[in-house]
Amino acid sequence: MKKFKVLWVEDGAFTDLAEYVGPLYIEGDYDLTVALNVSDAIRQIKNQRFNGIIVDIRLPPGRHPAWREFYMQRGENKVSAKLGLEFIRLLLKPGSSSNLLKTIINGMTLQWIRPSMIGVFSMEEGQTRQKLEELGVKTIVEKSAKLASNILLDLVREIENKIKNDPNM
Amino acid sequence: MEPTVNTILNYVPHLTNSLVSVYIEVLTVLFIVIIGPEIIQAVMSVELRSLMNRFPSIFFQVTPRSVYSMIIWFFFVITIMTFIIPHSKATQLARNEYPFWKNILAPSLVILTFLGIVLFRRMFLGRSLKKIILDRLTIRCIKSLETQTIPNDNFLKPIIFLGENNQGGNEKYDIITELNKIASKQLDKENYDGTYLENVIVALEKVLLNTSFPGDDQNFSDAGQLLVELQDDICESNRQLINSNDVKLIKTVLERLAFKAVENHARWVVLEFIDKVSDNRRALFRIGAEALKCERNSIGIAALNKLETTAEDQYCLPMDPEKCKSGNGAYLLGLIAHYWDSGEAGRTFARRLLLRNKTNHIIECLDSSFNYHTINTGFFITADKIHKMKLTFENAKARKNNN
Repeated sequence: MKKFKVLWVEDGAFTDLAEYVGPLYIEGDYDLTVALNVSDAIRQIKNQRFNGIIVDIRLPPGRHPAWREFYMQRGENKVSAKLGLEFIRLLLKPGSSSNLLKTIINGMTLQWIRPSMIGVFSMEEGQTRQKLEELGVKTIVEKSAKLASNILLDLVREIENKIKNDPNM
Repeated sequence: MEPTVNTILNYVPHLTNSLVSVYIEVLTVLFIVIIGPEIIQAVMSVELRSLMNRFPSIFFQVTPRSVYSMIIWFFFVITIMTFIIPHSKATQLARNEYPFWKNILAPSLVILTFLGIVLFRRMFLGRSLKKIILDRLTIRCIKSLETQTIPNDNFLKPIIFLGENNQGGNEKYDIITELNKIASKQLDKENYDGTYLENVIVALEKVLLNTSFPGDDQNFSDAGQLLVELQDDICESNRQLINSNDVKLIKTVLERLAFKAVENHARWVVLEFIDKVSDNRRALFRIGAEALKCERNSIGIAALNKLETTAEDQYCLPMDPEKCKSGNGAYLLGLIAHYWDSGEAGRTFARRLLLRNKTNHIIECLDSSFNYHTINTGFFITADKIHKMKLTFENAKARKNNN
């Protein structure tokens, strides 16, 4: 059976949250790729197709000028900029994204990305959660201090199950 | 008549005010001319001093004017204090009270000199002067790209020299940033053909892998990111350049940095590199084997996992003897052999991997991989481990046949 390919967009993936990565590697059925910012995430999506994408909402912009400009417009603050949310919007409903960000995905084919493939692993609540649900993203896990080390593995499995049950896939 | 002490003293001129003044003036001139440059060198940071000795002409070309102005100011203050003030009217007229000299000019000069010394030391010892010199060297490098495809060595070499001799951390980060600027300018050239970046890429490697002053975790991470971005930019500009010399060199340097990172750097740095070299089987194999040797199992498992994915993407799974004749299967089996030979837990893990990958004709696969590593890669330690593994399977098969 082919490995389930996961892209995890998280700036602390190998530092603060490194303990969650281990179980995924040991399990062996998953291939994890990490993007540390939104520019890198777009680059990865351009280069290969993934089965699942896990996104943090508070992300740095990376090097792409459009992301950087957008980040500056939002006050250069990861919490208020919510680039993760904009990234998901760009993947699922590019029409509703800002014109500035639309330039990033020019020429890219994104039809293969479905809401069921996307999971959010972040600290967001309330309004953001509502916006995610509007985009069709329902797999949301809230970050907290006392999470089990296999939380990421469980999240990936949840996405895997959702994809299996998604009639559009 | 035997000379007495008094007769000798008669020959020595009496110290008068003007004679002392002459002595001091001569001594000051000697001090400025002979010892001055030595003092300037002594207060400089070690890297700048070495740079000055190694590339004197370049150093003077790129040193900012403010530094020369400061040196001139020093000489100016010393000259005033030694030559002009003692002979000035104000000093002579006020031999009794010295109001102007004592109350205004002397304290001002002392404060200014003190300030000058502090600023001077800060500039030379701190990052600022180095940064200014570095900026100027970069500008010269970039300017040289107007007429040629690679940066002028006269300006690139001092940058590499500074980079090698800088401490890991912010100082090396400055060098990485400047090298990035130069490489980006080279890529912007219309006639870029995939062969211009060698000097800059090798420079980056030298800066990070210097044995006396290696780069820190963040430097490795930044350099890895820079190399991947360069690679992407090259391939995006022209898909045909995917196999160009520059891309090949970037992959090689990424592999070397990743390998070095396994030995000396934090786990997160190596995990980042594993993602960056995920299309390079050899690199993944080397990282995995080295991690196992250094008892960094989580890194080893991550590398193995990526190697499996790569093999799967290239249709090498399930493994068979034919696929193991090339690097496709041989690297994966080679790394599994390292696990096999690393104790009971490692062997159990290796068994699980073989089962998961449904390896057919394991003895023949091992034989092919053994040959590959003996003849093609020269990884004899790996070949020996594969051989050991093969013997175990052969013995098991013989026992099974006997029963």
